[in-house]
Amino acid sequence: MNVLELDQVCMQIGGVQINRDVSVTLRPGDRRALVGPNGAGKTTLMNMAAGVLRPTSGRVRLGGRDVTSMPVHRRARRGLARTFQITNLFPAMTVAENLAIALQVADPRRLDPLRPWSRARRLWSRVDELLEQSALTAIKDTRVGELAYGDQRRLEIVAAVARPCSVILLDEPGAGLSSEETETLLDLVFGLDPELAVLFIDHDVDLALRLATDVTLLNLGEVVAEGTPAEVRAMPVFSEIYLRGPADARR
Amino acid sequence: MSRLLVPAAVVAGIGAPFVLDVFQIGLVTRGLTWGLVALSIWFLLRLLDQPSFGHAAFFGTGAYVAGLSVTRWQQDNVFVILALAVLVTAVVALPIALIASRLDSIGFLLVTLAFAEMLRSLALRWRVLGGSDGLVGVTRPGAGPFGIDLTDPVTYFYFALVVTAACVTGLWLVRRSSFGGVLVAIRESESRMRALGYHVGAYKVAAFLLSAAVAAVGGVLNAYLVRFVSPDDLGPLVSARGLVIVVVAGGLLTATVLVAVLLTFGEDLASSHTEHWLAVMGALYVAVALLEGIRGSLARRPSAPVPDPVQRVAGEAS
Repeated sequence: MNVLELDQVCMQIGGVQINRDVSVTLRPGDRRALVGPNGAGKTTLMNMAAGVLRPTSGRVRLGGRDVTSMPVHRRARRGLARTFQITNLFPAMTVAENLAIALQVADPRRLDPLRPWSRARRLWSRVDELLEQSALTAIKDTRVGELAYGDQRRLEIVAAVARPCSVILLDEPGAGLSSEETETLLDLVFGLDPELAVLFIDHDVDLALRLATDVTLLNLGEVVAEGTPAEVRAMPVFSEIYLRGPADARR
Repeated sequence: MSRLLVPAAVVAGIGAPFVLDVFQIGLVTRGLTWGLVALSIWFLLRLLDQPSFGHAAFFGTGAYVAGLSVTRWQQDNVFVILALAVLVTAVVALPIALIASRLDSIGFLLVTLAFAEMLRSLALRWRVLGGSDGLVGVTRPGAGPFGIDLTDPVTYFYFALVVTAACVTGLWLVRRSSFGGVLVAIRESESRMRALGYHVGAYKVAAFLLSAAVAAVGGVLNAYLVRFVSPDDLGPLVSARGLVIVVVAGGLLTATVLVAVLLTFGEDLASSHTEHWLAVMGALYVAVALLEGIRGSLARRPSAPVPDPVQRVAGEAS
């Protein structure tokens, strides 16, 4: 069964058609890259999948259920995780606190206004486990605002998948990373649960094609090619977009 | 320093009636009611970065419920009245919370102010609430099964002290709780909290209602202290004073109540020496805001941690 399905989605803002009849499906374990030039509608598509934007037409399904009108937080609770184009953590909190916030969303006692956070033993022991698994223990008490950018990126992905989820959306995971940090990030993504479906965007096409099992090439809001990384790279439209520019490729 | 503040405040509170006269005890009690308004504003500002300029709406609602309870509804149990005030205030605060919580800081400030002014306008025209005359003849009720005589100024001071201490402790516990952690995280990044599965709007509304309840308790205590309820209890000066106290206290919980008491004394002292005492107090507030603003600016240096919202508000004020 498809874990995430964007079915003929369109997005029109004002008179501008951002996406037109785009269909993307993800099965468990897929790592699908959305690639394309600037203005291709990749981020808009990602936002429609996450629930930040509602498509003007078309449907979004998560685990077979129609979630087109479902808000972001309810999609998240149904197993949709995401990271952001610009790292989006809680900078005044420590690494451990960031993970605790991510983990306790499923804990009914999070609503208890009188239970000291520091005494939620089960939560903090789970945080410690997660820190150890992701090699973040050494920086657990560091404020996130003081972390190196690569560590922030890593933490964002670890926090996003800290609770049970079936699909993760990664928005430009490699942006701003050094080559060494990019390798660490790749290891992290390759080390994720093999059943977890990953949909991601990256401007670095080489990185995207290395990371992906499947590729969707977008141009001017429409899908122009789909296939494995090798297949898409061999298509003439791919060369036209990346060598001659998006407008030429459409002609 | 802040660790010494709590025991010092407790000792000062318990010992106050032994060193102060009845008038001064009244001033301290008044300071406690202002402290509760400031605490309610502190909670939203510190945890959610929401600067309210309309908490007079809830202070005033609490005061009117207190006044109506004894003048119209023949209710003579202060605990029942406190519960009723919190309940009515929650009903009043809910629509404000639902709208204001969706807005950014400036929008939040303006909408809370607008709602408070709407309520004040209503109180000025509604005869049930006494119109522009307010509610007079507000007597102090009994303390239910405890048989405490609240008409005695010292006893009423201790009652107000215990209620204030309970509110301070409650807010301190909430700040340290998982719920408080979630509120701080919402302050840091709403979009991320949504992406993690949190219903951000519900948390913000819950925090707003809790904050409004504390302001309402302050309104009840104030109504029985001055034995009068006025439409001015819903006015912007109440909210402004609360916000100023929070800024002067530098965002510290216990210091907020202490500063409220000290400023009440300061106002009395200034007014007994000069008719321009409001200008003196205004100059004092500006000086403190400038100092806090400088502190806030220093905290915003790139290498420093994220600035506290209270310092940021002070920085913008200066």
